[in-house]
Amino acid sequence: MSDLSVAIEYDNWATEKVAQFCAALPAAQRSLTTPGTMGTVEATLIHMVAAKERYASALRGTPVPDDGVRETTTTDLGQVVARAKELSEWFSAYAKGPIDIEGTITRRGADGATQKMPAGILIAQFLHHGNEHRAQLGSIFGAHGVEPPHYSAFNWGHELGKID
Amino acid sequence: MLEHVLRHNTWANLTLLDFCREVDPALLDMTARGTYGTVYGTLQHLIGAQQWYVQLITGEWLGERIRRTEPRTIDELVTVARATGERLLRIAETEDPKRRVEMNEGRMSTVGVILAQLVHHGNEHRTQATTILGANGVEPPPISAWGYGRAMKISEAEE
Repeated sequence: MSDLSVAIEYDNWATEKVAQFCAALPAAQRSLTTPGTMGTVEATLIHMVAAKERYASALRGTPVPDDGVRETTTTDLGQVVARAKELSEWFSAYAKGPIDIEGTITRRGADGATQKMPAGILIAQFLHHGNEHRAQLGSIFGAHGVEPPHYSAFNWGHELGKID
Repeated sequence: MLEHVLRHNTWANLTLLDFCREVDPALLDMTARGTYGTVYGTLQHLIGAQQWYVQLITGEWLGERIRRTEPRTIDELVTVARATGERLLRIAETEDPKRRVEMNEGRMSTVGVILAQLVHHGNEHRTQATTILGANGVEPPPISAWGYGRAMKISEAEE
């Protein structure tokens, strides 16, 4: 397992853990937010998984599937949890393969324009983005006295037996 | 394999530290609900933790050890952020992610998990710092990996 695949597997675990936690909250708590973050718990979760869809799509070189999570249409958090699991499976398989971090990836930006970048930049953004929005969710929960799940990489390592 | 991820980590730390060096110092004492503490306290914790993670892997403290109870200047944090950032690239090139190293209280961890924790921890606390800035009406600097790619002129990706 490469150092990159460890980081990707951690993201998979943390994203699924947070998605399951958020989806199980009562509606009132899913609507919570706090200043300086992206929005509500629900909107943040959907955005986090929808972005992961787009990163996977760019790495695959194929469009986001019809049943993929999208900010504009997805409302069912059960679908978000299920899709997070499927994306974990895809990223796990991707992480096991040879990854050319300097290989060029093409994606379509929000304005529809084509953008080119090394795969390593897209992966760095994918890891940054997941951590960023999980941190925002942590801030929302902390601001409202909701005990968040423990989702650090040390928590993950402990759960996997990689940390004694 | 983590090269771009670790280069982004260093660039984002330095971008945020440079930004905070230029703002009204009173802003560094501000906080927001649900975050770690003040902007300054968050930055010191972030760089101090990175120094500790590198020490776990290498056995070496790069720069004077940052302790929670001893405030450092932004310039001192920049020095440690640069030194540890450079060392991390060598670690990623040469270390076996499966190698086990001793942590505190005799606990053991693999190098790979420590690096994943470093990336997670850096992104998490930079986000908390930008959350505080945003909550107090200050537009934070762009510190995503898209921003890093554009700054290095190796990527066309936009937010």
